[in-house]
Amino acid sequence: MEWHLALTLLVGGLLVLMALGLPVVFAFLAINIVGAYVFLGGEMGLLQMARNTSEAVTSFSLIPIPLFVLMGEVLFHTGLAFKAISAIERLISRVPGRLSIVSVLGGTAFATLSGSSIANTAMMGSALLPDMLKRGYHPSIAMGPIMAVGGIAMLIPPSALAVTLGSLAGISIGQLLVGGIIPGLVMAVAILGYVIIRCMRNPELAPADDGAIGLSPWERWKPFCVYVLPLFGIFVVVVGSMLIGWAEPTESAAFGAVAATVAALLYRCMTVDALTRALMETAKISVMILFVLVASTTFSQLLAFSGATSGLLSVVTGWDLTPLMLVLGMLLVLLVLGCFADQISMIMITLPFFMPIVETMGLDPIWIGVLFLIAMEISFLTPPFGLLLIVMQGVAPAGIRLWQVYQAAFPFLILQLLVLALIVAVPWLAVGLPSMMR
Amino acid sequence: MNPGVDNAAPAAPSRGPVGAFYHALMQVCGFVAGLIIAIISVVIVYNVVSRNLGLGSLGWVLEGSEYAVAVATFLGAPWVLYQGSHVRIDLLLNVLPRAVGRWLEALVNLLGTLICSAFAYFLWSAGSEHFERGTRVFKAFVFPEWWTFITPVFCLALLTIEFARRLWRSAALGEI
Repeated sequence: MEWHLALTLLVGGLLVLMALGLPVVFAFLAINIVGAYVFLGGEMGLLQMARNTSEAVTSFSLIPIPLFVLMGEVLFHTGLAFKAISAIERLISRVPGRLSIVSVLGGTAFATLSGSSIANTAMMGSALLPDMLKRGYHPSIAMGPIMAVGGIAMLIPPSALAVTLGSLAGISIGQLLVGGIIPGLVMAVAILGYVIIRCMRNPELAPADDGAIGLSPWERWKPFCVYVLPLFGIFVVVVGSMLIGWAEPTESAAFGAVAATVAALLYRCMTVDALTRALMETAKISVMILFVLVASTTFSQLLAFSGATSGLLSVVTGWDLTPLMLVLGMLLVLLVLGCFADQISMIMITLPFFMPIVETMGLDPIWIGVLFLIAMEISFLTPPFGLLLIVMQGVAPAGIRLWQVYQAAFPFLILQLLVLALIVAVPWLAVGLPSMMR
Repeated sequence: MNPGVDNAAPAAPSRGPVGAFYHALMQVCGFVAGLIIAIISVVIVYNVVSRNLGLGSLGWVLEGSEYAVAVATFLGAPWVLYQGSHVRIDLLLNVLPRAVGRWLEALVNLLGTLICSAFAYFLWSAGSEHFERGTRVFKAFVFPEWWTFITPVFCLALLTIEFARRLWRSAALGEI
């Protein structure tokens, strides 16, 4: 079969099944069955596909995914994260858009403790949004920063999606995790700056609110010292152990999960009910990610074996594009795909094509990996089906319409695109820290 | 895209004995998956601490964790479907008229039933082949290779039942 027909059958068939509403993983499994029969030699191919399936998630590099999710879920369900947010809130006063700033700082702080953007947005949304709207904040300045900062959890370690991407792309997971730190912080600063400038120029967006005034300095700082500083110890353990090479990403993730549980016990926030909810939610999010990967090995094999990957690659390299144009092309594909597909599907559909291009052109895989993560972060906010838009509507008070959520996200979407352009222009921002590990 | 759609609400208030058993089975699958993840984290931490304190390293932790995550994934997948939480793109479902959408939903459940039953069969065949040949895995653990197919077959069988249940439910409610 010609490579373009194989490509149409595999990728086109996949997109049709996904568009019908078949859950993504089952769409992949269906295409695998057809593809294995056609390209891997009939019945023998189907048995090989079955063997791949049972082996696909038996990989040590995937273990950080559930462990990073567990960290965030323990802190979320025990209420410890909410206490940390309250402590940050007490420190911020007499600034325009005070609670929006709290949401950015709190969301960034929680991003260092959580591997899940969904958990981040859900927590910040349920913790701060009702209060912001009650105080007369405009929905755009109340919801926008929460959604924007939610995606930062994907960039700043620990990050379950960075582990997934690194594992499937063959990129060093430790270096990719560390590579996301500076872009994540740049993103947080950009969001913070935008909120302050916008609220200063238009004070009606966020009515003046002095916060915790009349308190002594110690009364303001005590919750921060008690609830926030010690929790940063978890981040230091996770990232520090990887940076200095004491632990593999998997081992550091396990330390993070256990440290979060020990912290909840020490703060006396842990209950059987909270632990059960944290474990069940961890299982749900992890299985959602890992089960899609069950189909990944066979799908990549089919693309390679049918000649679809090499055929497309020869066409693309035949265009004599510069490396920059190729990178921009890949990002464009990701951004368009991100409007309709979830992050795991984006990874699985594009990686089999992108990584050979990256290798052929001699591009830095860490740089490409970080750009990939930012593009996926942006896809969280792109209508019509950005995941964080849906999560935000889920936690927002009744009466908030979906178009208001879209409207709130729009300026932050532009901001994230600008940060993406910055990382394209200055690759050091992504590869500087990881190069210290090499 | 929607990770939280629940088209066949699992927690119906009144269940017969079969329904109650099925509900309990699903909950156990989800809880055990979560518990396995917690146990993995504790065992890995114990191993790292033990190694750094010079008390020796547990050689089976790496391989054991790999198998444990696979088991958790295959046990949890039917429960996640039962919750309606597998990621899906419901673009078409949202724009179609309600009646047409219900037919499309039924088609999706039919496709799911066929895909999962076929996959369960292929997994069973591959496992049986290993059973007949008597092949074994020789790593930190030594065991018959067909054991690695037990949870995948169990998982795909339960997924088949869940899709079929959703299809049957649509028919029973007169939606199709």
